[in-house]
Amino acid sequence: MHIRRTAIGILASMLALAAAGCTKLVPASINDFGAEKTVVVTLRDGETIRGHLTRGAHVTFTTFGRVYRATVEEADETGIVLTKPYIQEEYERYRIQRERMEGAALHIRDETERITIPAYKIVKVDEVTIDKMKSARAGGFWAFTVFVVAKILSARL
Amino acid sequence: MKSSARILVPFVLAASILVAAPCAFAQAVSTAPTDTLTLIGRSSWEAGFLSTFNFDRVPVGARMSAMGGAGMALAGGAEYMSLNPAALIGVERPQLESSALFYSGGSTIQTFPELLDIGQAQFLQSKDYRVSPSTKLNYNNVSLGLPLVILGGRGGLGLSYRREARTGEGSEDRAILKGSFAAGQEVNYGREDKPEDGVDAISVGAARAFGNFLDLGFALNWQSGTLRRNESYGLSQFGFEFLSGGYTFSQDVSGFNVDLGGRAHLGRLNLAAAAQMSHDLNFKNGFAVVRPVPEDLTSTKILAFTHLLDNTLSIPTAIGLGSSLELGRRLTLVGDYWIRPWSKADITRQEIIPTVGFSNPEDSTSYFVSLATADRKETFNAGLGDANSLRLGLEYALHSSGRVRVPVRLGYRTEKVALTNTMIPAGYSDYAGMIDRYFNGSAATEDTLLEAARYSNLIFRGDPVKSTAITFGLGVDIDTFSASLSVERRSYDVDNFYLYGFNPDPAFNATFPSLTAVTRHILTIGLTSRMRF
Repeated sequence: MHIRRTAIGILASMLALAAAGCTKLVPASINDFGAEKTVVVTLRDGETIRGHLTRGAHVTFTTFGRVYRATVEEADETGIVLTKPYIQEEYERYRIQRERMEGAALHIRDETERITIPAYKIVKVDEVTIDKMKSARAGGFWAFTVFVVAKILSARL
Repeated sequence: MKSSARILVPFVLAASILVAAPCAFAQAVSTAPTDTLTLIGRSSWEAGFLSTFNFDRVPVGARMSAMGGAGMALAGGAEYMSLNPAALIGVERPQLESSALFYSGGSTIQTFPELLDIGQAQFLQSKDYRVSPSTKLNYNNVSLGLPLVILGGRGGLGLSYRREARTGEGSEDRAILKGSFAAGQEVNYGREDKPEDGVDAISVGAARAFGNFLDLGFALNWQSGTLRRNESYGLSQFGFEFLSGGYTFSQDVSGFNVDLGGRAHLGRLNLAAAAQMSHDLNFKNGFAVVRPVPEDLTSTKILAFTHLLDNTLSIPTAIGLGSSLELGRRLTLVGDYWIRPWSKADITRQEIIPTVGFSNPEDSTSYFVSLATADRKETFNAGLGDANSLRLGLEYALHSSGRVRVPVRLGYRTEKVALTNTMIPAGYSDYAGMIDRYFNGSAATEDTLLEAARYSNLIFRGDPVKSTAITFGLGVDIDTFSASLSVERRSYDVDNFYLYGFNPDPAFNATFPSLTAVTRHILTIGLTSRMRF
């Protein structure tokens, strides 16, 4: 009985922690590139780059219909250069927008080997931080829910 | 089997004290042999195992609890499906809710017999009788609510697992017994009654709005559970328990019923009606192990393995009417009234044919009772009283802004529940005298003894227990998260047997002891958390 309760407690804690990963965005700037921060860079067309923007780090670049993983070659006040991109996900409902973009200045194709984003395209830089209050609420909710479910299961199984 | 084994528990207790107390220390370990018996009992109702079980629905969720259990006219979350399925219209986003309850409490002794005549010119004094309700932490519900479009109209869907009916409050009783026979020594009497578990329900409900005026809904409830009760009692002196007895009982219960409900919107006033349709509750696989208190340390111990008869309880339809009124943006008043005619509830089981007599026609102490079962079914009234409940509540938003809302809640509930006081009908108070009259040829007395053998504990069901509850609660809503706390103090007076360890085996047919009157105060703390996605 003691082992079962301990196991349930550990499971509840793990689920609560896993489910409580609540984040929020706080304003940052280009000067935060290279710092030990996870940032979200929003570009003029609504595309985003998410990750730790320092040389050699892997980031996620979301553009119309596609999500790339790429390596940061350069990130400073002049812009961001990503290399070795590969497609992680693709959304067909953005096909038309992507085809339009492929004809524009920013060329992103399957064979893309280098993505260059000039600084003037950057409209916003946010730092990704843990929303402690939201995490606490979510953690409390899931821990309590798992406790109640565990009580039900222990009574009925 | 010794005829003395059939005597009343106070007799047993008294005799035990008489014999055992002086030699309690000399015989620290009983070496008495143990006999095992396998018996066919009656149903769990007549055997008395269900005497603390209340099959009325308990409030679900801390918000409802804090508002006195009222709120069928509110557009609530998925948990309000248990009051009124039409309330599911209030589910505007997918939501998950869970609740737990903590029970505790105290009691006030009104009366108890301080001097018991146990025959043979012996008297049993008792003092310092006290009852302590047990504490318990248990689940209340987990509910999922989803907004839906049903047949082109706005609707809601609910899925819920909840504790539908509790088993009653457990308790620990203590008293100090003393008799001249024990050379003036005081003996501690202790009894622990632990009803466990209850009836749970898995419910699926749906509601649909018909214009801006009317919401209608239904819920399907699959009920199941295992009812358990452990009772133990014993005598001790200087911390050493020298005699003990008790029983362990369990039985599976299952059923299915349909709830119907509707809400009408009249501006700030909402009216609601709901019905929990009649159905049968099936009690199966009943089993009890009974350990009668032996006469003394050297007496044979008995373990009676008792198979209880399967039975069905017909549960009458419950009707509820409710209203809610919004006064401004911060204050909401609610009021509900429920009635369920439990007096129409019947028990159906195999027919029992009892036999009473004397194994030795020359000896009035050789009285025995035996039971046989027939192939026919027998239906009889369950002896419950009509339940009704008036529930009033209010909710006031202390703080209400875009993201945060802090409501406080108050409530009041008065109800008669499907629990009854124990009552000793005229003619049943002198069991030994009844047997003497039967021995002397009284046919009327034989009928009474046969009735007692057939229905046993049901004969002692008196008026329904009336309870009053005052409730309070606090909630916090922040964005998609809500947490609610409820505190309920429920008080009720209940009459029960004193020094009573009933026994479903007619071979150990106890006579009818005295009653106690106790006011119980049950404190229930409820906690609910809800997340909208």
